[in-house]
Parts: sequence; C-alpha cells; structure tokens
Amino acid sequence: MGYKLNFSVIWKNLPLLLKGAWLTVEVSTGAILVAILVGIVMGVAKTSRHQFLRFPAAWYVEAFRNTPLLIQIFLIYFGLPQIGLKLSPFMSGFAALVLYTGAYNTEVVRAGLEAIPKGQIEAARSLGFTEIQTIRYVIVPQAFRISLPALSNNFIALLKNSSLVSVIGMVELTFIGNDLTAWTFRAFEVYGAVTVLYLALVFSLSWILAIIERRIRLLI
Amino acid sequence: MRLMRGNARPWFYGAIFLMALSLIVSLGLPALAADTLDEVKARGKLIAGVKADFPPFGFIDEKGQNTGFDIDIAREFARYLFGDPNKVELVAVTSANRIPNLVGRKIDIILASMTILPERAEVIDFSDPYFYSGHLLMVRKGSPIKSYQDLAGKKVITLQGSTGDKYIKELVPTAERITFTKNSECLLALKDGRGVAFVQDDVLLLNMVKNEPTLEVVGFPPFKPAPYGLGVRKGNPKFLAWVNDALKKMKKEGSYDKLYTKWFGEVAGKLAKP
Repeated sequence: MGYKLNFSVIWKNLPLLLKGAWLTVEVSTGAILVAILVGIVMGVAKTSRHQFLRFPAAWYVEAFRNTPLLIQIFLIYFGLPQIGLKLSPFMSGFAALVLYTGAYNTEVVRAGLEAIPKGQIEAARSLGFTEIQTIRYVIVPQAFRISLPALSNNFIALLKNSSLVSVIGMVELTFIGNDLTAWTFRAFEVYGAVTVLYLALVFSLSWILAIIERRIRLLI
Repeated sequence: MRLMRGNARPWFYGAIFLMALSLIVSLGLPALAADTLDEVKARGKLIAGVKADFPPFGFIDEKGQNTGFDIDIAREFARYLFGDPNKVELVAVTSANRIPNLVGRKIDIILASMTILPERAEVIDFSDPYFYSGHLLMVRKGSPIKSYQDLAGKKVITLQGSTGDKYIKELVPTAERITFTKNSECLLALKDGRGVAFVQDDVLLLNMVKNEPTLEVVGFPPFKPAPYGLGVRKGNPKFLAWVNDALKKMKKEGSYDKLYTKWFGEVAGKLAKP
C-alpha cells in the first residue's frame, strides 16, 4: 500500500493558508518594528556609564535570551492572567516575539556602538563637534551600518519563530497547517505547502532587507 | 551586496530541486508488504499511540507513568500477543497528530479515545467500537450557557483535531473557536475566561470537572454521540482481524467490563448511550 499524494487539499484550502500567512506577516512586521526600538533603547542603556541604566538592560537581555521562546509565550498567555494581566492571543504572541528578539537586538546594537573606535569620538570632539553632533554625525551612522546585517538575521529568525505562537490558538500559518493536517491527515502535502509559504515570506523579507542595506550604504 | 544578489538565485533553484527530489522519492517508495501483525510479532513488542492528557482514557499519573483505560487495553493486547503485559511501548499522541503518527509508521495502533468518523475511515481502518461518547460543555459555575445552541456568536474553546471542534464549526458557525493542542491548555484557557465554554467528549469533561470546584459540566444529554474505535493502518487485514478478536476476547473474559468499571464507574450513568 503506497501513500498517494493528493495536492487538491492544498488548492481547496489555499485561501485559508494565505489568510494564515497574512497573520504571520502582520505579527512579524509589527514585532520587528517594535523590537528595533527595544534593541536601540536597551542597547544604548547597556553601553551607558550609569549603572542604573546598564544593569536593568543587562538583566533584560540575560532573562529573555537565556530562556526558550515557547516558555515565554506560555508564561505571557497562560501565566500572566493569574496575576491579573490578560492579553489576547495576538498581543501575547506579539509581546513574546518583541521581548525575545529585542534581547538579541540589544546585543547587536551594543556591539555596533562599541565597534566605533574611541579615537573617532575624540577626533570629532577636538574638531569642535558637540556631544549631540558627535552622536548624530559620527556614532549613529556607523553603528547603524555595522548593526544592520546582524539585525537582519534577527528579523528573519523572528519571522520563523512566529510559528511558535500557534500554540496559544493564534490562527497564523503554522496553526492552519496543523489544523488542516488534523482533518485531512495529509501531513506531507500540508506541511510541504506551509514550508513553501514560509520560504516565500522569508525570501521576500531578506530581499527587502538587502535593498535597505544597499540604500543605507549609499546614504552614509 | 552584489555577492548576496548573485547567490540568491542558485539557492532558490536548489530549494525547488530538493522539493522535487523529495516528491519523487516519496512517490517511488516501495510498497511495504508485511502485515502489521507480523511486524509486531517479529519486533517482540506493540507500539501504541495513547493520549497523555485525556483522563480516564490516557493520562499521566502522580508517578509520571502513562495510565488509563486505553493503556490498560494496550497492556491486555501485549499479554495476548506475548504473554507479558509490559511488552508494549506507549507513544504520547494528540488528537491532531495521532493519524499522521499511524500513517507515518511511528506507531502500530491508535488507542487514543478516537471517534469513528467517515473522513478518518478514508485514511485508516477502524476496529469495532469499544466505547460510546457524546459531547458536553464545560463552563464556569453560574454561566448562562446551558447547551451548544447558546454558543452562537460566543468564544468557544476547543481541542485541535477533536470532534468537539468539528461539530462546533458545523453546528454553530457563528461561534469563534479558540483552539489548543492539549486538553490541559483548553482547561486553563476556560479558567482564564478566554472563552465561555470548552466543548469536548462527555467522558473527559465529567472526569476533569471532579477536580475543578469553579467549573461545571452542562448540555445533557450529550450531543452528537458516536462510537470510539481503535485505528490501524489500511492494508493490514490480519492485524485488524486480530484487534477485533482481542476486543471480543476481552469482553468475553470479563476484563473489558472490569476495566470499564475501574475507569468509568463514577460517571457511567451520565455518559451518552448507544
């Protein structure tokens, strides 16, 4: 008895799969944008001279980078309601993705800032740049350029990690895939289609990021 | 940047090539002729897919051991096969992945509180019925919800791949289903107020509610009652016949009744009747 492939289940359910893919895009795009902010704020805090900024940032990174994302999702969705904070599946998944990727972004931003030689800052100051001008014209452009490729990696990881939020009933691409498999029992066809859709999403994202990297390279 | 652009294309074609290759390989797999019964006997143990979160059919006890009605049946089968109830390997499955597990040859038999359904019977073979179950609703105490008809337009918690999920989709299309992969997660979600009711098999809910002072079970008599069956891969007539004989033997010898009383004694009166 051979297993006969039957892809009609994919064509029949394509609108459903695309709807799921769209929610994946929504939650990932939102989380990427907010995670950039988190990365910048925490990255700057982590390189600060002040302990009261540096320590919380360091603890944040250690807490979220050293625990599984899946556990963070469960903790936020199932755990927080018991101490009085109930977030929707979307907000829970979104928050977990932002906090998790934000921790990685923090380290990338910190590395970008620390990669700028002290001599450049000293040179800028001796040329008469104010502190703000030094940051604006010397530190930020270079740190950004250095950080961008590593940030891109984090964004791609985020897009793929978003599949984990299917466990809290968020009807994104992986959830649809699991549901279709549960009812059509066509694991190869369904997960194959889901794989192709993820591939298309990640390729699109890398392509956009490559364009941004190129633009920024021309700009600064 | 140029480097990246230059490389993107070969990767893309590579991916397509790999997928085409896997397709061809899967199409060309030789038909495996051996009947599951022969495989099991040659292996010296039975591999059964059981639930780990579905009391009293299959769950994990205080000692961390798989236990339940289905597990006892699996052990009885092992005793019939090898004279030793321990010659069975238990694999935890969920409602959503039990059939892929069977079709994917990870397990020999599904012993996992599975309702006999025509769409499932297209993919696997069912044994004779061994249990009868309908659906009830678990709600928070004092809830105005009394039956599934009250769920229109409401948030309803269901288990992915379960008949409860299927029937809510069919019978109450306006309900918003919130779906999880484990019964334990469904229960937690109901307690957290993520939905107004958790729709599942009567026998499970009646057992779960015993430990839940804030929840109650409503919706009697159970709706959409249907028999449970064991599942085996299609094309294994010898194994299917053996399973049905084993069930008959259990009923004749009285071990089925003993297990039924052991696991369902308390709630038997409230269950769906054939």
